[in-house]
Amino acid sequence: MKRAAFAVLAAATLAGAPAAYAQQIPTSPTEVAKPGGKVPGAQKMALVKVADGFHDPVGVTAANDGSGRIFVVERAGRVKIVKDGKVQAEPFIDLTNFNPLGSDVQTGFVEQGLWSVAFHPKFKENGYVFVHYASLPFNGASIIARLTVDPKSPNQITSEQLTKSVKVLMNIPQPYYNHYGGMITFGPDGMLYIGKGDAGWEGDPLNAGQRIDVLWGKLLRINVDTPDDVPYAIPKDNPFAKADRPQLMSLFGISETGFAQNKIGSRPEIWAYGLRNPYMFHFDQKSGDLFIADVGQNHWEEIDYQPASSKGGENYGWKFNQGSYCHPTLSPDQKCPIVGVLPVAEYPHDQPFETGPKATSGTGCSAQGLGVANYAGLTKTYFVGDWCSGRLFGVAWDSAANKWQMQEFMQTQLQFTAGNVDADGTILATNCYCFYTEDKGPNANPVGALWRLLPADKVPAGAELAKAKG
Amino acid sequence: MQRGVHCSMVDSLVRGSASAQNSRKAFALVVVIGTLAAASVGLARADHLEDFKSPFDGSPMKFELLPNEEETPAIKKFKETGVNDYRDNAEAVAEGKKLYVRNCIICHGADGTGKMGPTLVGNDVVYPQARSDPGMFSIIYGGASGAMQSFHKRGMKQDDMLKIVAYVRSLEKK
Repeated sequence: MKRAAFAVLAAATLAGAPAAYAQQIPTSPTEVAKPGGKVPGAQKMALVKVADGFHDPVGVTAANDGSGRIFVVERAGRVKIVKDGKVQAEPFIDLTNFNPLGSDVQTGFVEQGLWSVAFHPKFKENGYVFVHYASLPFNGASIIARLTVDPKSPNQITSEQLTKSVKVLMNIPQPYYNHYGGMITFGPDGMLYIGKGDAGWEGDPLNAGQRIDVLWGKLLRINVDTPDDVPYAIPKDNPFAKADRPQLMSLFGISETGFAQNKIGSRPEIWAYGLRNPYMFHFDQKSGDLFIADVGQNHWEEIDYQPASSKGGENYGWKFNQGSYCHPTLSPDQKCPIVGVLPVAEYPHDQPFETGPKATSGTGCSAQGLGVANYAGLTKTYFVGDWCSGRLFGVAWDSAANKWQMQEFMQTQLQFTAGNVDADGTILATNCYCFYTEDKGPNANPVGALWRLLPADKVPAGAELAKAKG
Repeated sequence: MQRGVHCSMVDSLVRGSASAQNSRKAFALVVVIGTLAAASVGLARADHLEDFKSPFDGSPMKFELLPNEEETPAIKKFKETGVNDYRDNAEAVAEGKKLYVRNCIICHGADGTGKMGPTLVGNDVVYPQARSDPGMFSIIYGGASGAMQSFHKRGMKQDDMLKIVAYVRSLEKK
């Protein structure tokens, strides 16, 4: 538990022996990076178009099976294969037509749809693929399901195969049509991590972020390697794995620390909490460290970080805090407690506080994590694209300056939706033309594209680049 | 808003002058009014053809019509002169309000001072060209960055964009 870690950290600090861990998690808002910094090793980067013509692309991943295939998620409920820059016409997965009554995916609101596809670490052997989407038959509930690829049809899970092989792992009801979260991915520990939003409206009316008896407002962690009649298992080392176990009541001879560990009613799937809408999060494939891009409300976007040594249980503060500020976020000099673990970086909306001047640089409205870069001179640099401003930020620890840095690499015209790291370690990103207004539906909006982030001096001749400033 | 009115007046005065003398008077008026206008709040210049450009890289705009879209007289004149006749047309401004509420209000707010997106009124606009009608029209037509995508691409007619600009100008503090 991070609380215990903090106690150790405090003791270490007092003893004058800073641990590496202590150097990396901000302990005061002044240590949280903002745009304007310089990421170590940074050079000019460019976004090179890989493929085009996707309907509301909102997710991307590589199978990492040696096939060189990239899988782009279309919000309507399709997954498209890109191989050598060519898009396969027939979808790899199609959730829109296996049910004779129509699509299985709810897309009525722009935050709804199919968000993510994840490949089992042993996909090459077992053919397991996982999807996370808003279900139409279940009134918008989040469905997490496993499908199995037929080895005889490696590039298409037919509707028959889908129906035959589907195993539903989770069905999480959703009271409101926004803040679903979305991304699912396997960690270096082989567990499936699920970004789940606070279930919507605004201001977290259900207090979902702080409640540990609900799955909303969390990063979840489950073990999918179970018999087919068992949806999933709780990893034994989840922070609340045993907190809800039946037990006899003991009132005497227990310390207050002991009482504080009583988490009756908690959900054992929880890995981290106090999140608002962790649509995208990524593990660094090299170190196993984790970054979460937690989408903010009206004023601040935050980037959270966990070292690979984390035991889980981090509370990222929502809805007590938004970024390193108070919530509601009224003014820069407002006083309130900082709850839980601070982000490592944050950037403002055009209006950073309910009152006061507007921000003039480094702004956005919705942080979409793209992936962790260990190339182009960069080390463990988390890239984040903004949905509104088209800005591309990098976040990294600067050991020379002993602080986190956040740098705007460029401002593009793109409406960033998602990203991931390709088999070769380069970062892939998608953009859509899908927004709250003028949403013509997931099949009718102007099409989006798939991009690769490369050093500007390594752009192949004749490549199409995203227009960029900065 | 006020500067737009001044410039329209100037425009009609120049076109209405019959003799050389009148032309000189009109020219003097242009100078006087132009100076007054330059000294005012400094927003919403009605000409500025040079602002028909991409806010992103300054490249010149090419305006294409949608299938079945016709170039209205107001749009034709606007592209030639930079003058937005809808500013003084209450019906067009009312239409612009309806379009603004449907397409713009979520990001830019009911008063145009910005919410999720930047302000459209006052001097602190993100793109300086938004202070002129050709500049703002170009941004609506072609988009800027991120979520401010091209409304042409989204199927909006240019005449509607011009009405939206007229309505946004009406939001400037008098």
